[in-house]
Amino acid sequence: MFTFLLIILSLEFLVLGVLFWFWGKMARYQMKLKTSREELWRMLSLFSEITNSVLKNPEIPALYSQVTDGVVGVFPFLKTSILELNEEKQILIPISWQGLPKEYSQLKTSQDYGISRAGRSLDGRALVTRQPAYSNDALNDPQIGDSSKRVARLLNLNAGSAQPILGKKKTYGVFMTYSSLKNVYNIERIQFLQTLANFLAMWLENKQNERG
Amino acid sequence: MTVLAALSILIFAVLVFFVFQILSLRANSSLLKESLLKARQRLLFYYDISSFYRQDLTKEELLETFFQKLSQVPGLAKCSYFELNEEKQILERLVARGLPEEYLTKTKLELLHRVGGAATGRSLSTKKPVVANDMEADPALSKFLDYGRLGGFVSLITIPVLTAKRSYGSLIVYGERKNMFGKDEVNFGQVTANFLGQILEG
Repeated sequence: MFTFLLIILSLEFLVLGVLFWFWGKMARYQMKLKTSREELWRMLSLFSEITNSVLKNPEIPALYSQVTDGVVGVFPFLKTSILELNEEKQILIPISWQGLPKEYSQLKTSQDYGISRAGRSLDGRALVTRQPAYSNDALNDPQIGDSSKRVARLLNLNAGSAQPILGKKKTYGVFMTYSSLKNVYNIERIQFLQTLANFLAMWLENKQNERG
Repeated sequence: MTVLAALSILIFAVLVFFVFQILSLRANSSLLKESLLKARQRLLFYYDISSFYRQDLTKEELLETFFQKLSQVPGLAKCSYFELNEEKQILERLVARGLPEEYLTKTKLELLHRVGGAATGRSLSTKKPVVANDMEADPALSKFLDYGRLGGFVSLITIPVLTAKRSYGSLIVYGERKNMFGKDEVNFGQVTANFLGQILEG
């Protein structure tokens, strides 16, 4: 009887160990799902906030700030900026940014850092291809030029994305995001950021048409 | 031996507890996955509709494309768009998806959606969504129950399509079951209507 009980007890411990391992695995998986779900619902909430606020006819800089601040609220590890295209000078001018230092504006508008360098910087690439461009490890990305890497090093940035703000008739600028972390971008996040850029473009175009 | 037997029973109880925990986690994970999928589908829908506005399409083509994509979002198979004719102060149905032909023909002849009347007009005059999770219980809508039966819906939500300067019309989503429209659905509908407003204004 004693041996029988010992065997049963050993088996119970074995099953308990397996169940405990499985429970831990499932709990971790559930935590991951919860985090993803929260992030997705935060994205949806931001759309709700932004699309509702345009009904109040805000000024352009106010909506820009709402977008740059809102995205940081959704992804606290991102820094954001909206750059307007000056077609005459062919440069991008930062209008609104969040989480980036003062030097950012000077660095971005400095002469050697315009879209003349198209294709060698994320913003330039996004404007030329009319598609979002991103890098999850910008400092080691061969497609990114030295001057962009220099800016990234100065600002301690390792990843970045650029979403063109394209109207039907006009290119308005680029919506940029950066992170000091690597591998922060996936298709879902890029699509979300591009949707915001598209909505901005639609709204800017309508606002411009309204003004004649 | 008694101690061993007691220990064995105790461990068995812990085992049972873990089995229930795992089953509960599994059920929760399914719910979470469903919610994740729903959010992903909605985000993808926003991405899609925000991408095609640059194409050179007529208003009819824009509306057709928009509503084709909207009706593909799970739970939104039945939807329509009524546009405000400011001159006559009536709402005219421009697009309908997932509604039977018989319903469309009958309602086209018999229903006059005067602004301020039924849910469609009410949402437009108040500039707020009207949620009727049970048409039977809504005094203003109970007279439309026969139409609901014909169209295969018992609940509906109407959302005004607005921009800062104009009211365009109303977006309607029809529900085959009661209580289909919660806070998330209202938010989703509002964002969709806001996108539509910007697209129509362009």
